[in-house]
Amino acid sequence: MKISKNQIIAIVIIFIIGLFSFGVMFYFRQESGLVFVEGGYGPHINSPLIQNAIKEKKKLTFFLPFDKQMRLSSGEEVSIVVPSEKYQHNAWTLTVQIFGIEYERASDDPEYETEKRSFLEASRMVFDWMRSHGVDYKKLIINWGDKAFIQERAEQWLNE
Amino acid sequence: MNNDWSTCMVGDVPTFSCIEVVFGRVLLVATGLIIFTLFVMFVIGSVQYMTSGGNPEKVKKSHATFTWAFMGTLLFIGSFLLLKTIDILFLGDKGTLFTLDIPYFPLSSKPSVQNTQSVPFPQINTGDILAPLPKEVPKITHIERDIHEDIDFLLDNYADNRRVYEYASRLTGVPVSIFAGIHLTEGGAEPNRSLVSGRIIGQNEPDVVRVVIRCDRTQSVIGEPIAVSGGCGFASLLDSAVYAGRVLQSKTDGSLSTFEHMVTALARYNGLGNANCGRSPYVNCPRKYVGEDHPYPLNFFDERHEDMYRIYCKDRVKCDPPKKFTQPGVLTVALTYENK
Repeated sequence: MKISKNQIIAIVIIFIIGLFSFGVMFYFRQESGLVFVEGGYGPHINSPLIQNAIKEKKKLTFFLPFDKQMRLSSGEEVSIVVPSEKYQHNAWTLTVQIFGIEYERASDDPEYETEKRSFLEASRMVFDWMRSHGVDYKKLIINWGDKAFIQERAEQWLNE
Repeated sequence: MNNDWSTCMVGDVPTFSCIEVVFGRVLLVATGLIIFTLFVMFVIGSVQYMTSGGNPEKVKKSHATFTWAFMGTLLFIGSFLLLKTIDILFLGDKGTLFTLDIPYFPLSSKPSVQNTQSVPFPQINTGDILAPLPKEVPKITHIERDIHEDIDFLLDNYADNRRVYEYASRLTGVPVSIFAGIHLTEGGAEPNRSLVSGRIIGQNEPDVVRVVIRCDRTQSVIGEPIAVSGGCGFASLLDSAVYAGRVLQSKTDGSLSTFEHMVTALARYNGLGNANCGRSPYVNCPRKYVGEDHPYPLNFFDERHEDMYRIYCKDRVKCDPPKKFTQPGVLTVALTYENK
C-alpha cells in the first residue's frame, strides 16, 4: 500500500497533537506552589518543595528574630518582624510580618498603589537580608501574616 | 506547565518527580512545533492555491493541504477539549490527569471535633506558674459605660473556660486574662466559639492560611488545625486558644512583658488597618506607641480610649463612615477579669 505525502503529514500531526494535549493538561494543572492542599490535605512534607524550604529556612535560624523599623521612600513607617524559631508556625514556612501596610485597601482606593509600593520596598529589604545570609528566598515558603487577605495580597503584589 | 527543576530537586539531587519536568519540557517544544507546522501548512496551501492558475489538479492539491491543516487544527483543539472534559467530569477539574503524584500523607481518618468541656487535657509538663500580666499596668480609670457587669456576666456564665485559658497559658506563656479578653471579644466567651475568629469550633477558619498550615492531621495535635469541611478548623476550644496565643506572640517575637508590648501585639493581632489615627474622628492623636490608637486592645480602657472607631467592618470591607467600636478592648476585659 502506497502512503501519500499528506498521509505522512497527517500521522506526524496526530502524533504532535497527542503530545500537545499532554502539554495543555500540564499547563492547566493548578500550580499554586503547594497544589496538594485540597480537601483538607496538608503539604507533602517529603516533597522537594517543602524539603528545599526547610533547608533554606534553617540557614536563617541563627539570625532570628529579625526586628527592624524603617521609614520607606513614601514616608510610611513600617516594622518588619521575622520571629524566632520558637514562634514560627512550623519547620517549612517562614513567618515574615510587615506591619504598617494596609493590605485591605480596595484596588480602586487612591492609596492602593502607595501601599503596594511600600510593601514591595519593604519586602525587597527582607529579601536582601535573606540573600546576605546565603538564602535563596525563592525556595522559601513565606507566611506573610496570619490573615488570609494578607497572604493573598502579598502574593498578588509580588507576582504582579 | 511544570518546567521548574526546583520543584523536583532536593539540593542537587533529582527525584522521580523530575520525569514530569522532563516531559513538560519536551511538550513545550512539541507545542511550538505543532503550531509552527500548522502555520506552514496553511501558508503552503495558500501559495499552492494562488499559484494554481485555475489548474484543477493544482487547486485540488491545495484543497487537500487545507483540509489536512484544518483537520489537524480540529484534532489539536478537540483532543485538548476531550481530555479537559474527562478531567472535569471524572476527576473534579483538578488538572491532575497526568500528574505524577506520590501520596505522602493519605488521609485515613479525620480527628473529630470535640466537646471542649468533656475532653481530658493531655498530661504534659506545662510548668506550674501561669504567665502573669505585666507588673506595671495602668488602671482602668474611666468607663462611663457600665461594662463591668457585662463582662462579669459572660465570664461567670462560662466559668469552665478558665480551665482552657489556664492550660493554654501554661503552654504559650500568654496570660490567662488575655485569653479571656480575646475570647470574649472574638466569640462572646462562648465555649463552642473559637478564639481565632469567633466561629463555631469545627467550622472552617478562613484565616488559618492553608498554604502554610498543615491541616491533614489524623490525630489532633494541641494548638494545630485539623481538616474540616471546606478547609482547616479547630477540634477544640483549647486548640484555638493555643493557636491564638502563638499567633499573638509572633507579633512581638514573644515579648509581652510590658503593657506597651501587649497593646502593640494585640493591635497587630487584630490588624493595624483598624488603628484610629488618620482614619477616623478619634481625637486623641497622635498615638503614643504602635497600637495605642487601636480599639481592639484598649477600647473603654480609660478616658483617652472612650470613643474609638471600627475602620474595617469585616476583613477587606471598610466601614463608611467608621463606626463606633462598641465592645470593650481585650485589655479592658483582661484587667477586669484579673481584678475579679
